[in-house]
Amino acid sequence: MAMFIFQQLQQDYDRRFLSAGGHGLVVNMDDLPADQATKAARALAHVIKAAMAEQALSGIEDIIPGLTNLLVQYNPLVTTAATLKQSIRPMLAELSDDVGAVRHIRMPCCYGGEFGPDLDELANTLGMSADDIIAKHQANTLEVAIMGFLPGLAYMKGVDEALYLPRRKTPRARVPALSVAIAMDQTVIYPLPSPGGWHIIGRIPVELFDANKEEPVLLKSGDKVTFYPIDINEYNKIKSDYKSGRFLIEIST
Amino acid sequence: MTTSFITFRRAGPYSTVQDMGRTGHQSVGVPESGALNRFALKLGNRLVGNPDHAAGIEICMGGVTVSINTTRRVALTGTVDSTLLITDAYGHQMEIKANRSVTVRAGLSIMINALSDTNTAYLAVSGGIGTPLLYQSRSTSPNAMIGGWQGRCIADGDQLPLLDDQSADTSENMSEWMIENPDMFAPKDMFRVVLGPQDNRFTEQAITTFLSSEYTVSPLLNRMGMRLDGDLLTHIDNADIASDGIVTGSIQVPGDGMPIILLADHQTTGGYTKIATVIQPDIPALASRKPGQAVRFTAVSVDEAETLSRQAEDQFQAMLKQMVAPPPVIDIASLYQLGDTTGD
Repeated sequence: MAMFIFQQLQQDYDRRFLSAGGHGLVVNMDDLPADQATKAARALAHVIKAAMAEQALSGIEDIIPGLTNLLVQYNPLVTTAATLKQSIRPMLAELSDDVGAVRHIRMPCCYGGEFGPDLDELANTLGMSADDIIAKHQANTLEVAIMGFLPGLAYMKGVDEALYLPRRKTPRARVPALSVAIAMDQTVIYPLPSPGGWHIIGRIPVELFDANKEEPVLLKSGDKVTFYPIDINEYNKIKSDYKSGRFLIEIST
Repeated sequence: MTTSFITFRRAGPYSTVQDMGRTGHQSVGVPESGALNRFALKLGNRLVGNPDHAAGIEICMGGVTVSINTTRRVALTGTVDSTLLITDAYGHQMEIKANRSVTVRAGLSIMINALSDTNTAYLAVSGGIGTPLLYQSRSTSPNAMIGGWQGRCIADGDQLPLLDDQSADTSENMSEWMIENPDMFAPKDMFRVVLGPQDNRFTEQAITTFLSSEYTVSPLLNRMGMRLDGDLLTHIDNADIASDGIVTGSIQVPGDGMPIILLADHQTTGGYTKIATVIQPDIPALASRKPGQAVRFTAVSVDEAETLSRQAEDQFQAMLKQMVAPPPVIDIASLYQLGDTTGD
């Protein structure tokens, strides 16, 4: 039986529903502690998807979990915000943390050197060795809090507190694709070359978004991710084996 | 069967393949994408006999010249005043008005000059553009480097595949259509917004300023967003929020106090306050605004926004019902020939 964990959701919170035009309804959960709000938004997305699958809800075009809210994008030719609120209110009252099986992903990462240009500077600032940073980064199991910015880009929370640092003062104009970077309590992997202000510590040898795959996206919100270190030879081997389908990312549930 | 393709002799500054977008995947970071002016692309598709979701070419600013290696119907939409200039190998030229379809013989040059009354127009081709599907859409999202032609804007010399024209009608009598009253595409400078979701993070003065002053479209304009210049909008404390989802039309105000209206290729989540959202039926007209042009905002309620969406759709459907067969094209070349035979 599912456990109800979001009792702190106040029944009479007047900022529960916010508007994003006449085509977006924000279900706000910032009356919960931040980490609970992220989970609650994801849980509500799960319940809404199930209702859509049973055709109990119509007119919803997309459901986008945020850190403290859930954005429901709808087609105003089919439904209204008022109708959606009516359906969503009872869902909130019974919201549980049961969102189905959680996936655990083991992610290979080649730390430092050419792939991690900020590692040494980071070591200096934090007053620890590069090896310490690598050890701390792989020790924690991270959780994909939300996705966004680029296809397949996951914001993973749970980085060791000893590694907390704000973003770089001057963002880089171009961060190479598949760079692993940290800032504050989070890790991201850039799926594509893009501008970015995070501290780059390594690179992964597998794609995060592959349009040719039936399921193009590797990571999804709610996934647990653990990094493990590989050297440059392993990186090169995995990279080529991944392309030919001889290397599979470890995903367990 | 010959492969049909459209060749871009001049691609213009920011031309892309677009259809109705890949809705439903923003939770994994995939932008919705799709035509900025959905009404215009749908109309183009109807005029050339395509289904609504067929892909066409979104043209920004103009300056595009193409040719097609098979005979096809084409239509230019999203504009009232701009035209198609069709040129044959002899240099004979015909000017075809927007918002009507015309049959163009294989190999003729089709030119769209600098767009006069809009920043965004559409070239629909019977059959539709045949670039690969990703999440059931052919739309290009250049910043995410996905969809369309190699995930990028079209470049000079590109040849894009066309799907078969289902009417398979290559006779002289391909059915052509026009609409008589394209008023729906006339320029506008007042846009309706619903305040929120983070209007509570702005000073009262900022809300008043936002709804009463005139903003100017800055040159920093692309499919992701439209940056505006004008009066500063002041936050109560700061511009940061816990990152959350974004809809097309969201007006984000970062720390510098200058609003950015997020368009079809917007990032799927963001960490800046959003003061208001442009209502869905006003986004096509918004995407028609050019850098330097004025933009003003007026607030409506959610109920009004939803009603306005339905009214705009009704207006669009009514316009489609008024599609009529156009008068024959005045073909300058044949007029000359006529002149020759009746010469005095």
